[in-house]
Amino acid sequence: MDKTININLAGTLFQIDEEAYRILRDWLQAINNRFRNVHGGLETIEDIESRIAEIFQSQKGLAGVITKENVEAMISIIGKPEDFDHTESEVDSSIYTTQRKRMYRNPDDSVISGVCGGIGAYLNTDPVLFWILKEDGLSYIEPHHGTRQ
Amino acid sequence: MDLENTKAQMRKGILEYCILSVLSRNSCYASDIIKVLKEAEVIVVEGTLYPLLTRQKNAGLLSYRWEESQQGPPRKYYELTEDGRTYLTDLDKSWQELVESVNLIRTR
Repeated sequence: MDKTININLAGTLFQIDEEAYRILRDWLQAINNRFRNVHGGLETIEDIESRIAEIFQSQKGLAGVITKENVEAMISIIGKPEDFDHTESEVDSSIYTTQRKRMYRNPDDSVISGVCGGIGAYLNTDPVLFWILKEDGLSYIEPHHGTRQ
Repeated sequence: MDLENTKAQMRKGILEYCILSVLSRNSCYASDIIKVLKEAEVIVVEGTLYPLLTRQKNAGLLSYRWEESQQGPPRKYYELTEDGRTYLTDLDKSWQELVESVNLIRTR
């Protein structure tokens, strides 16, 4: 019996097996590192998240469990950050200087209904990381021991 | 000198122009744009495109509307704004001049 994890991508729920999840998480982290300090980068991360959901859905529909092969196929379509030709150098300086420390629910960042985005903005960290931590947390609270279909 | 790097630099210079050019015909979903750019071999992976679209949108050259999709989350359909059209017209002219300049040098 393989452990599966439920994840939310652009408002769509997917079941993913543990190995696939690790690959997806590392890749998302790399994407996030690449764009988080770039002006408009959060929107780019959201666009990519939507595209991942679309690719997974075309691979599996909504019922199947996402496997390593699915994740690798998706990554070969979207690419790894080091394969993105265009190098962005515009760093959004407001991220470092002007943000006030206030907790809020971020409506522009829909990863887990904005809550993680809000916590991320508060701690000056990235939503994806929190999104991952939240998923990890969930799997402790209610482990998803699913079987492959 | 690294040939691949030089080629990448050349592609990089024309990519923004190519995106606007694709959108000059009709509004497109990002994957439609990617398909055209991939066929023309100016782009390798999809991830290259998304930051450029966001930047062009923020610069006022593009706008987008949401459309529901059967295959997943709603999609952004991009189109040129008036400013985008003017910008593209300038780039068309500039591209033409570049081609002529390079040809002049090569055939000297």
